[in-house]
Amino acid sequence: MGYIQFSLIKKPVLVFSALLLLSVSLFSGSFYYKQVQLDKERAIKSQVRSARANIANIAEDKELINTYQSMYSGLIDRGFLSEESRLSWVEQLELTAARLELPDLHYQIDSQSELNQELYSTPGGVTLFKSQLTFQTSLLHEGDLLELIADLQALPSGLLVVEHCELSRRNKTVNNSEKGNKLNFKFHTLCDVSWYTTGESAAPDLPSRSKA
Amino acid sequence: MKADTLLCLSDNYLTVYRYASSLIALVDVYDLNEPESMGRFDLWLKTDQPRTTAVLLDVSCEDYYEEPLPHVRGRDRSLLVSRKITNFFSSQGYAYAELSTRLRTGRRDDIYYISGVADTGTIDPLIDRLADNNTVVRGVYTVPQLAAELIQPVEHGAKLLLVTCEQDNSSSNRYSFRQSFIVNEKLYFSRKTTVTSSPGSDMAEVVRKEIERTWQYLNNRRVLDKDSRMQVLMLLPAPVSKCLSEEPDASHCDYLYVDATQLTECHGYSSNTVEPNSSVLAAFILAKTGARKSHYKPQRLGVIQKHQQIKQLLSLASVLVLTLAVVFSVINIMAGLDIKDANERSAQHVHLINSELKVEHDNFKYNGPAPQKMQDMVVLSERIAGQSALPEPIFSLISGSFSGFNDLSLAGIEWRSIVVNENKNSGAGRAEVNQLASQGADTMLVVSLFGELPGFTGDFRHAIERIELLVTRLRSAENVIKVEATRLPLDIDPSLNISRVLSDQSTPGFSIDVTLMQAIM
Repeated sequence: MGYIQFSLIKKPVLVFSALLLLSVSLFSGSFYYKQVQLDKERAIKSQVRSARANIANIAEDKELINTYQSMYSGLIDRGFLSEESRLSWVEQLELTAARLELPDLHYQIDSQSELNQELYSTPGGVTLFKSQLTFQTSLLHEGDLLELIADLQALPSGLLVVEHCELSRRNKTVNNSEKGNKLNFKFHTLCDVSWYTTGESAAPDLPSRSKA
Repeated sequence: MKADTLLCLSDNYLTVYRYASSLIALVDVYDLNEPESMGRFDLWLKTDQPRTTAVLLDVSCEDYYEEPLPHVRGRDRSLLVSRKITNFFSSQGYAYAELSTRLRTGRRDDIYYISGVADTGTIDPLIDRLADNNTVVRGVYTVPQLAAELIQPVEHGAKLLLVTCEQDNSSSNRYSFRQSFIVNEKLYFSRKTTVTSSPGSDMAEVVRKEIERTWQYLNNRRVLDKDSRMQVLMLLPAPVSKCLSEEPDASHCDYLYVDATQLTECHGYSSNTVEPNSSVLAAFILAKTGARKSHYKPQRLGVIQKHQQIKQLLSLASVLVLTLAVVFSVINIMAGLDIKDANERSAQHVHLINSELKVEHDNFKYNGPAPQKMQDMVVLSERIAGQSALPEPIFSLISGSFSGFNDLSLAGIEWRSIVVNENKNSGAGRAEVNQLASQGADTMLVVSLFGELPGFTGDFRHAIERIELLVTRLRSAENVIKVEATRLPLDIDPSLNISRVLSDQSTPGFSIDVTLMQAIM
């Protein structure tokens, strides 16, 4: 009772096999067709995303240029992107001291040091340098300090940052040997200022989106 | 139109009926003992190729047993029944067991009625013919097992004897009487007897004796209730019924003559060609009620049936597979077409965007440093320059605050910028840090003012009040975070010791720390 005679079910088996094959082919074909269309859809969406990103990047670059180009030019003019110029500093100190009649101006410039990238979150590929200038002098008037710092700020040799200053009353009389008169200095100041400059490091350049 | 073919096999004849639309029709009658007649049947079988076929047996070689079996369930029950059947009937597939009742006392056994064909010599040739022709038979049934259904429209007791009669095809004087004893709608026993009606024999007398024999047999087996009379339903052809009704009933029996015409009407019997008798009516009921459990299951037909089931399964699977494939393929293709249309629209959109991109590229003529680099460098420079403690705003704050305080003289100023992180490390107050952070600045400026009271006359209270007034004014200035007098002309802090010589004429001094936001720079 348990055995099966294939001859009795040959026809339906063949029909079933043929229909199964046909069904699998039909489904596979339709599935493949749908997948091809989905692949095309993905490719088109990718193109749209890429093109939109490029357009957005151009717009953003334009915005960045409009916003920062003049400021960036200002930084170039101030020498922030150049090497420091100690000679200019010294010359300017001497010129200002002569103009303001500060005969006992004493200054000290420390050696330039490279700052850690994390201190100011310096961008990659950029090295930040700092040189500290300490000066002290007697002043005829507190306004002389303003002028002295203003003269140093005007130099195109980096960013000047006043870190610390002391200003105290101190009566001191000094003979001005050049003009032959006596000057009565009422103030004394001691200041620490720093010059910041940047340089390109060996690291890869900053990322640039614009190919233009 | 769906049609059932019914093959009714008696001891000598094979009658073929066709049932369709509640109408039964006689196809042909074949004599089992005539090869020519059976040859005709073979030919009919090949040419007609009946689809739904059932075999109905009305043979005399059936045996009946009543067997108590232990009350078990599931597989054990079927094994027990099957073992019992094997004891009674050697031919596999020709036995039928039906649970009748369960004893109410003792071991509470189940009572089974077992019927079977001990000698299959009459049946096997027909089964072989059907199997050779690959005819699928939905079941093999017996007329006695349908007896209870046959008399269902007639009001009757729980135990009764049904007597049916058919005229023999070969001779008009020969009648086949079948006595079927039914208990609670289940067949207990059946016996077929052939009686010849001739001038020399009294058919009524013979039939009465046969019924009395049956009563005796049943009484001996204690099937009948004590002191009760056996109800006998007589379903007979009109002439026989008339003949018997003129004779007295068998002893201990009450006859009830059933009107065959009324009974057939109750069953909805309808036929244009066949006169109703018990076997035709049984065939009609079988065909009318449709599929039911087969009484007997011959092995050869089982194989055919199994193959037929496989064929039906394959057909169903074919239809199902094809339907699913078509449905899912259509869904895929429709989805694919939708995506294709969307892709075509998107492609046009891509073309427009690319054109826009090209225009933007063409219009964007820039050869300077990278914009991002410019932004980064500007932000860096602002971050550095933001820490510069330039003197102008400090001088402005001091000159504004000291206005009106001619009795206080400023001797020195010291200022430095502090980054918030450094401030935290240096232990500055959280309040200042929070205020600074809330205003977006990250650098503070700490200005220390050192002063004297040149016109001091010894009134410390007045001097301290003046300094506190100065502190209040400084606090009200813009961008001032914190003002603290760190030294007073006379230190009145309860935690300190005070000592002073009244002759001391030195000028008292004071100092104030002012914390500013670097934003003012």
